[in-house]
Amino acid sequence: MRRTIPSRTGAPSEAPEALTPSPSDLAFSLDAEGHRGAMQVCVRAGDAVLSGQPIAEGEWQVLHSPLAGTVSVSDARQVVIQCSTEQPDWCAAPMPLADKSELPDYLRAMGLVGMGGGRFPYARRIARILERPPHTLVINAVECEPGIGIDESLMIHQNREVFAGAEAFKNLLGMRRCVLAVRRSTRRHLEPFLENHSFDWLEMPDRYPGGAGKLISAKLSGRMPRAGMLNSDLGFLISNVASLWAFGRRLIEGRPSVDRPLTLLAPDAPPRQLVVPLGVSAGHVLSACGVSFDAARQILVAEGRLMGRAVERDYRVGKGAIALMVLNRERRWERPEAPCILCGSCFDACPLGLHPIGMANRIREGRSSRSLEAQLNECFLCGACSAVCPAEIPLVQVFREGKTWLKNKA
Amino acid sequence: MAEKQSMKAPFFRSGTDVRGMMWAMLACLTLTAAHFSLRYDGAYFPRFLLVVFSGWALEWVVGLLHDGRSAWPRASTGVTGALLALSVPAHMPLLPLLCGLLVAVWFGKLIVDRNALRLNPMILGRLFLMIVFAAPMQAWLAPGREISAITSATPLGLYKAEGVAFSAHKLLLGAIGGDWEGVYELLPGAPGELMPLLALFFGVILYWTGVLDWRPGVAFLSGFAVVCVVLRMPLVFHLLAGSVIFTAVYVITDPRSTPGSKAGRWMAGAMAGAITAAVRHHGYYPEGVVFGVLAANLLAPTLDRLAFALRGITLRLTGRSPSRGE
Repeated sequence: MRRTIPSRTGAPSEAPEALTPSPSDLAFSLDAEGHRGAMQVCVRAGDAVLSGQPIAEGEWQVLHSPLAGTVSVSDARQVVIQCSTEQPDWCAAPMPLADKSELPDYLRAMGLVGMGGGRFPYARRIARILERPPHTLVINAVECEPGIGIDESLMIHQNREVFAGAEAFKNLLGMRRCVLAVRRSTRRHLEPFLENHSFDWLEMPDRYPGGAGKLISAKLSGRMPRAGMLNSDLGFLISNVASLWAFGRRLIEGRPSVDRPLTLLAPDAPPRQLVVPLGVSAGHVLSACGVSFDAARQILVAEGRLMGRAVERDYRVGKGAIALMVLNRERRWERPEAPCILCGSCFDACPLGLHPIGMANRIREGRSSRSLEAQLNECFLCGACSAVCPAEIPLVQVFREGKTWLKNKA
Repeated sequence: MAEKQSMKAPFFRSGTDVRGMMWAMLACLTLTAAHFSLRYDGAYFPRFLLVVFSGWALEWVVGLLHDGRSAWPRASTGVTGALLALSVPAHMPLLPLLCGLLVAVWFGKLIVDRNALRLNPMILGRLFLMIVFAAPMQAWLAPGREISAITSATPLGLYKAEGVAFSAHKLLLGAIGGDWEGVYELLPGAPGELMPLLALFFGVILYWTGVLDWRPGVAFLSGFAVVCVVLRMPLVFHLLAGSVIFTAVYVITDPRSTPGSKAGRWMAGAMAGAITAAVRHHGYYPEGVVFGVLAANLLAPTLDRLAFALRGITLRLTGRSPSRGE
């Protein structure tokens, strides 16, 4: 059936803008799940901090303050910084790497995580593959969530940093090949700007979820990574554009991962590409950009329409926030669930050929089976099935509960 | 750092909802009825509307009797009524037709446990009519005539009686008329099967707008075609005569009564098509659609369970690329 989820098309993305004015405060949750590991705070209330100074540390990443200021709250759950009115310019000092053995500590110290939404610490990822590095680096610029264009913006306007990060990974890990994965429609936007760089193109479809790592691996290798298998097991290091950009900035300017490039979407306005400091509130981003938000008629969404979540104005931008969106509420989102009519739309939408409604029924009825476990383990909760369901069945929420149920059963 | 709990992702919808799908189907069926009415019988369209609204009224009454409360009838019941009206002779007496409608709506839609049995309500109603009201179901009358003084036949009836295949070109365009050697007056069959080209056109639109899946229809036609070739039946004639195309577009694609899985749809559609062709060749009835579709419906839950288990097995064993590797 022709129920597809189109990715963004249209004019090339504009250059990313810095957020002005600077926020008056920044707040960071130290939630272990959000950081993929426990974080220990390393500043106290009342401490003065500088831009780039560590404020919390975990086993695989360090969290830094993006701006200079004073710590007002510091406990096990969060750190809040009151920003100084005067912010000194960042003092750029390159921090090159000599050897691949330095990579895990380097990446941990800069706080690099997967910035395509996964937030998985790079230090842990690279430490795992140091002994047997992959053969191909894939720059994932597919950016399949509808409406988002920040990766394209970075590739056009700040590709020096992106390719600095990519070249460093490729050379240090001895990878033979570099592939740039893009959507078919964005290749023509990018080609004029990337002529001086050496890589192979990989075109993925112009629909969601074309940018999923598993699908890119499957297209490159002809083989889908099984549940529990990583893309690196097939020889690929798939890295989001924003992650490489952050890595490149560290190499060139010495700047840790303190900024978040994202797309700001609002009704009746063209999308804006921004670079905002981590920990800034959504409310400040909206008011700095002159975007109004009426909670009665609209909804504020972080991280994308398909895999994101509804948030309030006091939401704080984290490392995985690829977008902030003000969306007009649609009645269909709040419509109650209707009985399934077995139209098969979810089967068609699933990029992995799973059986969504079959899985959902079995989860709800508590009927565990090996087939259910196998399919549920494969599912990466992209939400495509829920988006095409005409009966408004919350499939992805059921799968999320199902994964927890299976984990508790095991 | 508050997070809204009431609304969850995805904040995006592709395609229309269930009601929209049913209204789109009903619109196409209504236009089909209007087309027949314009070309052959001006009195048919009001009768078609009467059947559709009767279906809604029946559902309301039955719902009231069953649940003790009044509820708005569903668009899908309108589709059931429309399909039934389009698949029986245009001049079928109203009372038997309404009895068939009652079976379709009451038994087919409201009583049958959709977890245990997924039967197409319209086909149930039609089967009831074929068994209980066999004579009216085969009474093909020219418009404006109450008594048939000359033997009349539909193209399929002519083939069954004389082994003569009507012109495929005329069948495609619904240009059915005249006589055969002065013996038979040729009449169109049921209104829905008059013009296969129109059914195909609406089928493409319904697929393009995300209402229908193409697999069951293509599988049905493929299974039908294979058996026709094996049994040396005139393939093009049989594809265009009777309700094969109508069934491929509107009946075998009924989501409720066909498997949900892709593999299941291929299997069910092919099986229904094969049985239809076999019944046409060997059976008493000139049309075999009812039996083919019902057989596929009966196997639908089993086919879905099988497809689910097979997917799990392939995932555990191989980690192959999926059917949509992109």
